[in-house]
Amino acid sequence: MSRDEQRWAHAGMLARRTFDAYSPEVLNPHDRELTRQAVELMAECLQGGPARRLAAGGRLGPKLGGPERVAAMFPQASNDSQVAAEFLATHGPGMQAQVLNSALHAGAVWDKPGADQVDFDARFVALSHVGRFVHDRPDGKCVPIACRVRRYAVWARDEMAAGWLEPMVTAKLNAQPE
Amino acid sequence: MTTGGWRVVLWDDPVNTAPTVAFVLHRVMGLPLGEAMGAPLQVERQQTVQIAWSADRFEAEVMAARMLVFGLHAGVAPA
Repeated sequence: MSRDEQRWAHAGMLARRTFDAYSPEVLNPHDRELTRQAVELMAECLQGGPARRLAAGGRLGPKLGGPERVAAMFPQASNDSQVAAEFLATHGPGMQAQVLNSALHAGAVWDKPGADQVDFDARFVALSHVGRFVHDRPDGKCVPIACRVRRYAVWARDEMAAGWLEPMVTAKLNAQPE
Repeated sequence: MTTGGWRVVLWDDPVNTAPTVAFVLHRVMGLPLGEAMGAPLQVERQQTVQIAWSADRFEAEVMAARMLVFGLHAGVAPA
């Protein structure tokens, strides 16, 4: 097996492991709706909105999101705290604006069949952040609804990435000499 | 001791899987497919991998910011 084939095999194995680990729960349509509502909430909070409950999470569900989650949206971009602070000051607002645009776009085309590349990128970016946006808490504990959003988002994003790469990987493997 | 310029680095994280990382590196960063597919293994082994280098700090930061927007744990470091 060539080095490239080993890479593809490894990537495929990881994707399969992810699918196996998440598919029983996340194929639930309720998790999909929770995630859609969480994307809407993320867009609201990026525009200054407060934390609130998700309608699909029930009246007794926890409040999610809020300004603290917006502030903690991106991980530290450098091991040097001064460089990281300068990075955030320079690029933070722009990155948040891109995530906001993606969340609004993804919400608008959530049920649209036959997504184009713009729709795809917006969904990918929104799913990349919504799990972390609702999930992390200062005490490190997991809110069940937030865990479900995160699992769905991670699974859906992996499926999208694997599906996007698959034709190119297949073409590359088929192009390799015997 | 630094040699000048800025490295754009990708750190290992517990959320992103190989296809996700490969997709972003190929689609967003423009890495060749083989290189993009190899990077997840490399970052898993070494915890961090250099994706690009730039003499200009702002340019390096813009590249890192694009990866951050697409959900990867990227950043910059002096070369």
